[in-house]
Amino acid sequence: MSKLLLFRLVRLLFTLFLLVTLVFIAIRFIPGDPATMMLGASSSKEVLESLRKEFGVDQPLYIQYINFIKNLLKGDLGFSWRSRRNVIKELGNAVPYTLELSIVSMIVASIIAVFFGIISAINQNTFSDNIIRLFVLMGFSIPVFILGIFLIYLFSFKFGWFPISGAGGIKSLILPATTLGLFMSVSLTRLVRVSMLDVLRQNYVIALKAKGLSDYVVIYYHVFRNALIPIVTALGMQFGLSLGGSVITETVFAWPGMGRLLIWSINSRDIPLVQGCVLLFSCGFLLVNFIVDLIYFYVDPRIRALEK
Amino acid sequence: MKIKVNALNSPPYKSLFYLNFCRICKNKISVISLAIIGMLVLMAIFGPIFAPNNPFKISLIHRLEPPSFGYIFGTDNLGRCIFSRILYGSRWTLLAGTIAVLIGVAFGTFLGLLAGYLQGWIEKIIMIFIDLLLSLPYLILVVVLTAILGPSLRSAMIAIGIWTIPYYARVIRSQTLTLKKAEFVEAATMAGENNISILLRYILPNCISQIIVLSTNSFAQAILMTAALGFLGLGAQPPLPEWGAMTAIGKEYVYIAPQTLFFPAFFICLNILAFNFLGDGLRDILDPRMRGM
Repeated sequence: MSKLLLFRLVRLLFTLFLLVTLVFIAIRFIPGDPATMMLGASSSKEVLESLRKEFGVDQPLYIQYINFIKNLLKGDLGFSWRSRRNVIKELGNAVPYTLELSIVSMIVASIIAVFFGIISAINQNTFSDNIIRLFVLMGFSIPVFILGIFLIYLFSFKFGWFPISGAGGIKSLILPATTLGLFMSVSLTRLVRVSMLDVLRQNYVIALKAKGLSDYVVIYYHVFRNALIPIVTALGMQFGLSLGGSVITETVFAWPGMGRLLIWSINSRDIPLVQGCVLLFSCGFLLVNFIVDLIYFYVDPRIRALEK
Repeated sequence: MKIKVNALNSPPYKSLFYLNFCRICKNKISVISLAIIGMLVLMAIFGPIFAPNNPFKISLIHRLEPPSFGYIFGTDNLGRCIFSRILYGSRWTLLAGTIAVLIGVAFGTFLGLLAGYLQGWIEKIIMIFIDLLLSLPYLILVVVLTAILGPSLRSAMIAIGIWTIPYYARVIRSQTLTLKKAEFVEAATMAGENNISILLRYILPNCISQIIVLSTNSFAQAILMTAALGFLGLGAQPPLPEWGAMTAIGKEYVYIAPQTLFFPAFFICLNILAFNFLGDGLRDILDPRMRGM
């Protein structure tokens, strides 16, 4: 079994290395000379050249790449060209906010999805099931930013319950987390419903009922636990959705997380910061998927038997 | 004496397209979504002819006016008629969705067919490429690609197209792997047909239903992402009347003039909804295995 683990780890590292190289090359193609953007086109040539030398963009591409890999292995991602602060420090300031938003919105999404998914599955094809399915389909069609702006308009402006934007305390977390949570709960509800229906179709459910167990125990203890397996694997995808959705949500709510940092650094052509953000996003995503794969392997006894 | 043999009287021939069309018409929701999409296409083709005002004309006297006789949906922060801008914007929405889906279908199907049919090291390289595209979370890949290509609607379309490639490639690859083992493919190989002919004549036609279902859902995603990129300022640039960029303006003025936000947001949601419903309806008809979702 540990041979399989090693093989998967090696594949993960290989993918990470390819990704790092691809990100490096791709980001160097972002149009716009950073020195001109920062100092203005009317600055003297010497000043622009000296700034470019400081950034290291005057070197040929392969030398830049070698320096980049050397620094990466030392754990140094460079300095932000705009704020002159260490990239890792900038990221470190933003990551806790994004993690806070992601985790809370995943919890909100899970609660909504499990609640409505189970109701929808056990009342299949009745009125409540159809209503929930309709809402799920409509939920797929509302983009995150429209939902966010609508919630701000309703709860911050009309009712005045929550602050309009910014971070600071639980009150300002509720609206962004609800927005992102609602957005993620849509696909998760559908998944809960499908996997519950799959399990309910199995023969052993009839056997459990024949044993004389109450419906309550059958559904919430046996059926739900077996239905959880594909839902757990979907958690990795949900995390990716929360990272990507956080880009828009943080922009709408002015939440100081990684998503807003990415957009800001792209707009100011701050290459090291863009690089750092993209690398952190993708490494985090790949790592979480890897861990979810491992969890899936341990949680589902059928997979373990298959691998043996 | 002429003997009538009923068994030999075959029913009149009805083409597959006609049969599927009848099935679509029986599904009420598909019909409604087709009607909405038809309205979008009509808006895109004829809208600019029937637009009451010039969508680019700035008129600061008429800033932020509520809906009235002269301006059916009101005006935005620069006095431009929102109704006319929405009519013009429908062209960009339709164009963005079409090009993104075309790029995804073309490259994704090509890569999927290659990977599934040839296997070996070609398949490994293609799967590594697909894995790389999938290793960036949801919106990040599209945002970075748009930034690299320069913020504009054209870059947004290409970036979204590239983002959809892995989804087509994976589905087509698994379908090709299954079909490769089919008997008619074996028979064709033994008859001496070359690989390209087998791919085009036997394997590709059997993938078309999957491609159609994926395309409708991709179209919905493409509209959503184009609007999101327009909202972030990375997609359509001003003064282009793209619906996502209009919502960005609407966000600033929603408190004093909600019509600047409401109308573009409504049309975005309506069209994404129509394509999603159509996708579900088509999936029910074309792929019975996926029913029950």
